[in-house]
Amino acid sequence: METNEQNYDLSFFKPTNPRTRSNRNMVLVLLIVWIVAVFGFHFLLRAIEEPVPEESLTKYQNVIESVKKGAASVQEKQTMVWSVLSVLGKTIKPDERATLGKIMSYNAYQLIPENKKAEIASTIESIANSKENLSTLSNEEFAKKRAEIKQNEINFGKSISSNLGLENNDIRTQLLSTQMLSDYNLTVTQDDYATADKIMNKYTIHNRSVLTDTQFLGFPFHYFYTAVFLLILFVVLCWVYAYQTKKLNKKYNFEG
Amino acid sequence: MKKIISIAVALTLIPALANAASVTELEGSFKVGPAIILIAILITFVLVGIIFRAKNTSDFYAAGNKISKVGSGMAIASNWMSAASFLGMAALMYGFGYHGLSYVIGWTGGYVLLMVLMAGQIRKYGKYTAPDFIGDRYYSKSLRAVAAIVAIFISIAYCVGQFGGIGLMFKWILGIDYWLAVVIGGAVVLAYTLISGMLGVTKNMQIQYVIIIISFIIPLFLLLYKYDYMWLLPPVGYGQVVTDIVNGIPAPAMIDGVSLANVYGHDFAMLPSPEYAMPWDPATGQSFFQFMAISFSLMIGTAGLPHVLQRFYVVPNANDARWSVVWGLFFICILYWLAPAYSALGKVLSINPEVGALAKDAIVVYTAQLGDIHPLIVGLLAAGGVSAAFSTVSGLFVAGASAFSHDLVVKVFRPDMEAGKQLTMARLGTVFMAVIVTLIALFKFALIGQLVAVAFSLAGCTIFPLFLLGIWWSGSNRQGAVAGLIAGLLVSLIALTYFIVGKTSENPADVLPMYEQVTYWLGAWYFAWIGAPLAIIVNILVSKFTKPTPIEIKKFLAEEVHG
Repeated sequence: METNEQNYDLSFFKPTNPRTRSNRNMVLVLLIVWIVAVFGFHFLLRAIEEPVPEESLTKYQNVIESVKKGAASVQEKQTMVWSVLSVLGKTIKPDERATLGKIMSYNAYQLIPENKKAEIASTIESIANSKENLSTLSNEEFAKKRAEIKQNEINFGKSISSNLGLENNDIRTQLLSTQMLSDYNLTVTQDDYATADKIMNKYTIHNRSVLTDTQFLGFPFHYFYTAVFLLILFVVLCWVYAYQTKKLNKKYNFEG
Repeated sequence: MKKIISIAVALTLIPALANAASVTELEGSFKVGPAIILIAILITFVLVGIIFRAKNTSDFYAAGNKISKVGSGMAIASNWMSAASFLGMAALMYGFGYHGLSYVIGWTGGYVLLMVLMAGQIRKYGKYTAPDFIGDRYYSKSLRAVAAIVAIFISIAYCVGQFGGIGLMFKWILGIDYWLAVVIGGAVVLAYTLISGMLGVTKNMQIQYVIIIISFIIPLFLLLYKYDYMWLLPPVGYGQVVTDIVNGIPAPAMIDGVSLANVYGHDFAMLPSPEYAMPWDPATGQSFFQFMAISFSLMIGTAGLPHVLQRFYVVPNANDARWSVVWGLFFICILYWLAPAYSALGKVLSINPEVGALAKDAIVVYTAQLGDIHPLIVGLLAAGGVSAAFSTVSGLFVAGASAFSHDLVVKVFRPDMEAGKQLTMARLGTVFMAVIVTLIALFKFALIGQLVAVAFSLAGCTIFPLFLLGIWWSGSNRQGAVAGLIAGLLVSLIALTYFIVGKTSENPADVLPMYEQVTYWLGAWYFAWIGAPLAIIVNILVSKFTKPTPIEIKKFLAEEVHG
């Protein structure tokens, strides 16, 4: 900053010589780029986003009223099971898992013939029991036992997939042995359904836009922008400042 | 010395070999390979610390201004890349999806502010510590004392998260309880800092940086290769993993007829989970406001952290200070480009409900384990996590100890204290801090990244406004600084009171008024979004209406700092 005997006042916004003015302008440009790139982009993301439901929620909403009234057809119950399994396959809280597991199991058992229910329940318990003490096994024994359990799980899924309207290769069939309860005399209340509605909404409505649905280098574009590009930009901004300052100081023969 | 070390290593390994754990569990008991790697790394650190030990107070505080630009950049990166970066960031993205990226950009974007507004000027001002600058610039011993106390609080808050990380990794490696792991880890890092001081720390930081990056990147190469993603460039290669999480991975995923699976045999498959990557998704419980507030708070906190600001005193001149930021940020970004990859792969590998709830802060290590990476490489990864925490803690201890002995005791109470006693005082301060941090870390108040973010908000509300105005506006005077600091501290106090009561009381809403609203708008990890602007405005207003800054301060700023 320019100085003289009388006035040593210094302010970023009031540079008093060409060097400090150039420096101020450079800082302002870099800060504006920084602000727009970070905050401007996210305001834009916010402005253009729309809440978009997953297919599982749309299907769930189509059948839930009939299910609640106890008037659902087989196909509607199958749709219900498919939708709820779609959320049970996500990372959700234990209490939410308990609620969804209950209503999924209740509806799934309604799709299974009476004479098969006890057998199904027994298989679920048997698979759960076979997993106990797995961690005490040696690595080789563990691998062997785990493969055996996995085969049992696949077989179990296949054994009821047609009743539940699931394709054999649908990943949801693999969830059945762990997510279906062994109690086939469950009762489900309207409160349970109300809670399930909230959980389904929470996990299956997402803020999406052209920025989130466009792919770039394998990423959703907005994710690439924030996780990769912004960091590159920060390094570049710092580099530009260091380089330009050096050049500026040389030009004005200033040490600093 | 060699004999002693060999005997120590051998003695340590006897129980290790007797208690070798099965890889069929993620936690388990003593892990031999990882323990050997950790011990080897710690011994290296201590030896380097001894070789480059501090010989006087100047060395202890600021390494005698002898560090090069690239070296200093590496030290900045290592100092910066803490347990929060190494473990915490992946944990936040694993738990909160896209919201976790607010920490990634917050902890890197702040360097732009630091660069264009402060780095060179701080070096030209030529003070040892942040409180030193504040005391001198605002010509006030009281402010120096308060700044020193704030700096100590910031260092403590920052260290708590680090000790949490050290505890988790020691627990994982040694197979001991968390509390014991925190105590042992804390004792080791304390001993190391006391022996080496900052000169050793700086040398160590360069070694630590290399260890941190290598240990972080090797498992990622292996994981991406194993699960058939583009592994040659992990920061880009994991993009397809994110997209696969959004769209789902239909079962079974196969390579050469073999089904891809995690270590438990669960298929590498998952149902569509867009909540992982979509912004402020309802499933994460985090809002747009919180994303922005965290990004902003972490950015200005970065530019106000005493132990970061202090690093600019160890380069020879302002030009080197600027280039050390460029290098430092580049080195930091290498890790930050990679961290989201762990959370993405961890998400897929742990999606089977049977895996159960995993400690988020250890997800980096669990991901490697779930991907069935060789235990020794997982051990290297865990040792890298410890290394990251160590490098930061030692820097923080030096900053905290400097604030205690140099800024508080010597400058305020005992200006005539001899150099030898000053060093003793610095070491006493370090021990005191270590004890406090250990005790707080045992409570496990929040995720590592969130605990560290508290320190950032505190720095953003207090130190940042004083540096920003102190450097760029000579009109900012002592009265303005005091008023601004009070405003910043008041916001901090409210936010932290609500946070601590919320964590310790069963019904905090009955104890504190408007509990929900205050904890939302003044969250403990982002209260600086309002605290910092408030402190700046108060500082300016009070300065305008009170006695001007003395002419000698203005002259120094105009002539020495800005030329």
